[in-house]
Amino acid sequence: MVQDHDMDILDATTLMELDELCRACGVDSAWINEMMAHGVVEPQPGMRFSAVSIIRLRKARRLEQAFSLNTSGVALALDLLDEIERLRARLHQP
Amino acid sequence: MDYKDYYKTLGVDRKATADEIKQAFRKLARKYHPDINKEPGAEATFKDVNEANEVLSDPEKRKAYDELGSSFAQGQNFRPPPDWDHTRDFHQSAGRRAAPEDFSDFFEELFGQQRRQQAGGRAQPGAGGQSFRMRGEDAQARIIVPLRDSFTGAERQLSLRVPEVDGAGQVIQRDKTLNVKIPRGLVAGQVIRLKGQGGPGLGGAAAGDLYLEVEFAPDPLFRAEGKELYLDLPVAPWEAALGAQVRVPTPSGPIMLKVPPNSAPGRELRAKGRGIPAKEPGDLHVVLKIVLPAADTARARELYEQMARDLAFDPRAGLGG
Repeated sequence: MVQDHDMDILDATTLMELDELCRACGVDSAWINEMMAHGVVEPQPGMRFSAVSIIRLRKARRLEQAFSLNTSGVALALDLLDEIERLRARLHQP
Repeated sequence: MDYKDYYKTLGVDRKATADEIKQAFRKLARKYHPDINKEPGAEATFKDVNEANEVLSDPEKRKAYDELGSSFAQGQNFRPPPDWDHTRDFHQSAGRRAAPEDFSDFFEELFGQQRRQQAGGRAQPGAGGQSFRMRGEDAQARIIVPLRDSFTGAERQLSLRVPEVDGAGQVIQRDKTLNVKIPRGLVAGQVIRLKGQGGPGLGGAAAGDLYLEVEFAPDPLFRAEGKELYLDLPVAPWEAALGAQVRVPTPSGPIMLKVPPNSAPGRELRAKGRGIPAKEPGDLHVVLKIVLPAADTARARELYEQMARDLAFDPRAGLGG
């Protein structure tokens, strides 16, 4: 059992460098560039990324691998999933 | 350990062709993938489906699995036959690579790499005996916490399987339990970074970090959107019409809320600062649901009849005609 970790909370205001984001997602920069070219994530000025990109890119990776999607397919699936989430919220369903 | 009937999981015949298996898997994966299906239980089903496909879509693994015979039932107590060759090296499928913790004990016993790595694999030192330093890989996992933890702060245990280097320099997969502090004000969609809890470094380099995606478990009452909370509040028609002071549950204890007179269904009242206690706390949005009492007694019918007589009310006035 391990305790008392060095812990931080990352959110939309936390910015990460590209190499840090690559390591955090377990992917290479070519893959992230490809995702950027399809608008899956958008860098802030200075090629820095919001830490919530980790979640979006990891989801992109899971969808890509589970359904053998190409990048357009990943981008479309993510957009549609976002839309479903917005609609669900409007339905007031948990 | 429990026997897994992989054919039953995918809903295919034992004689199914590779194409039939692929098709059945794709259909089930689309339905139960946890990024798509948010129902509780979807993730567990997806893991079962994924594991079944991992075995049945690989001719080598499928053949070995078929050799066990068809006499076992799903969930039946199972031991591998004494002649099972544990040193057989099964391929890891390239595309759909699942994390090791995604597979059952049954799978690990028959096809897992863990025991083989322990038996033989050895992390190779750098070429030509040169010392070689490399930072450990970062690891990722999801942590699902009850909404209430974000109000009280909490400590949760998280079990995960991580690569480690043992005394003999071998990389092994090890189950590890982490105590994770859930700070007050944590919001779904944030990421907890635990420094040094990722993969081990090589040659004395630092270990990687562990990134935890935070999700809230579904709550029976409250819905979170960022730090804003939503609650559907049932009210009686007269409370909505006449106004009322009502008791409203919040994750930090009940509050009294004023329902203004002439409130329509769906009206949203805001309890400021009663959302998630982030640095700038969110609000609690209370959405009114008007609930009609049943006209199931003589007295109730009489009251409805009196309203029908005395109120000049046409709910369909806006429909025209």
